[in-house]
Amino acid sequence: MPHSDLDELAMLALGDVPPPSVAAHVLDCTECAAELADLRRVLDVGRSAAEPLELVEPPPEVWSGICAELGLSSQGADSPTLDEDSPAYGSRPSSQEDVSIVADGKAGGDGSRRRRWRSALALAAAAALLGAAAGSGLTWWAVDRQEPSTVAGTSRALDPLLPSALGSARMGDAAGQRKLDVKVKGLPKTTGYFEVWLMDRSHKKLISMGVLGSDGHAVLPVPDNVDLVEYPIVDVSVQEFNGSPEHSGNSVVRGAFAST
Amino acid sequence: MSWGGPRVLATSLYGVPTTDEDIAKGFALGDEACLAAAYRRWGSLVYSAASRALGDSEEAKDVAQQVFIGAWRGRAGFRPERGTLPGWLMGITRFKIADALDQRSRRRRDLEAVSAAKAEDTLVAEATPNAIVDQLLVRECLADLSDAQRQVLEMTFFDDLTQMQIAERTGLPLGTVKTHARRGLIALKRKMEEVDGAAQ
Ligand SMILES: [Zn+2]
Repeated sequence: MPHSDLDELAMLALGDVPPPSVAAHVLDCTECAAELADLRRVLDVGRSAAEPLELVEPPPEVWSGICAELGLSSQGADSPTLDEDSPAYGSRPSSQEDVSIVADGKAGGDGSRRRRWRSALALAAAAALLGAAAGSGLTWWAVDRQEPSTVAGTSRALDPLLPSALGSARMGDAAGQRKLDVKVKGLPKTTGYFEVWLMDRSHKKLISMGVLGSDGHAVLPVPDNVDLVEYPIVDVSVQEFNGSPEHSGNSVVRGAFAST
Repeated sequence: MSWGGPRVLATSLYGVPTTDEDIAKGFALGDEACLAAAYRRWGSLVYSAASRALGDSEEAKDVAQQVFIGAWRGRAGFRPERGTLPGWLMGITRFKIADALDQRSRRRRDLEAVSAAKAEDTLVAEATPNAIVDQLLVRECLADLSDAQRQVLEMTFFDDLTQMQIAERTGLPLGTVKTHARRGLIALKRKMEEVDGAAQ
């Protein structure tokens, strides 16, 4: 079945009644459901912005610092004054309007379909998809477990949640793919296994990354659509072999990973 | 648009970009004038997000600097055809704000023995930066829509009006209001998309 038109999904998001086939398709199609969820989140963010936040100009040393760091001597002497129109809420010159009309014309077309909105707001959908995959019994990461190489760079120490545990983690590229390199020493004895998670700062949203090897080391692929801004914390838990895809609540180490 | 007088007018003869799309294209190609133009155009957006999220102008200056330095050095990861430059910059801003907050809590850990309760405190306090970035970004992107779309969406978002009420207030036919709302919402989503690599 063809995917729903973005225009029809927008109707749904705005509470209009689209053709019945659209509502039915969204129930079956994760891609269109994710598009719809993104549109609804744009609506939510829009409503949350009712009180405008005032824009503040950065002090001039910000620009001179940028030029100094990047070695842009030509620009350094010629510090740009901030555009008077740049406050987001001001009116725009007509050239901008032309641009947005062109963009609007394209927006419903196929070109925009595959673009994912990568802000924190898109993550609930991404997490839901990953969670669904993880709960299906055959986890997506299981397909790609090769001998752990390592991610080059320095790891950051994780906070021990058990007195014996010493953990560290870093995120970086290995063999052209984004990977999370986790090591934990002083693991407790268990009849189960140790699972690696990425979580948000509130510890409420979790994505399972895979299982720690028996040597306490794992290099796990991290899908590109996981936003590390939203999931900056790595956590290692003790899990029982009870078939539950949920975090057991018993963590060994937790903390921010180093980015290499 | 005010470009700051004759000095900038002179540079524009050499092709200084005048639209957001030109700035984005030139930025991706490594044109230094476009870095300056991007800073002029979105510097206050980035700085305001950092300053509100961090509540400290010194750290905000540092973050704003890092955002533009990081964006410039990582410009190979920015694809104008896949997302807007402000969306990309704000993605990097999120990342740098999170970094600054991490460093702050590490400094605090170094200074004092941290109880579990204190650690929870910081985690709660850190939940808002993304909302601040989102609110600034959505305003920025709204301003970029056509007048009609912006007006309809602002009435939808901020005045919480139904499409029927908007039609009554504006005198536009209901069908037109619906079209503006749909197209505007789709365009807004597109503008807010942050391309791959924003979090590098
Ligand atoms: Zn579909």
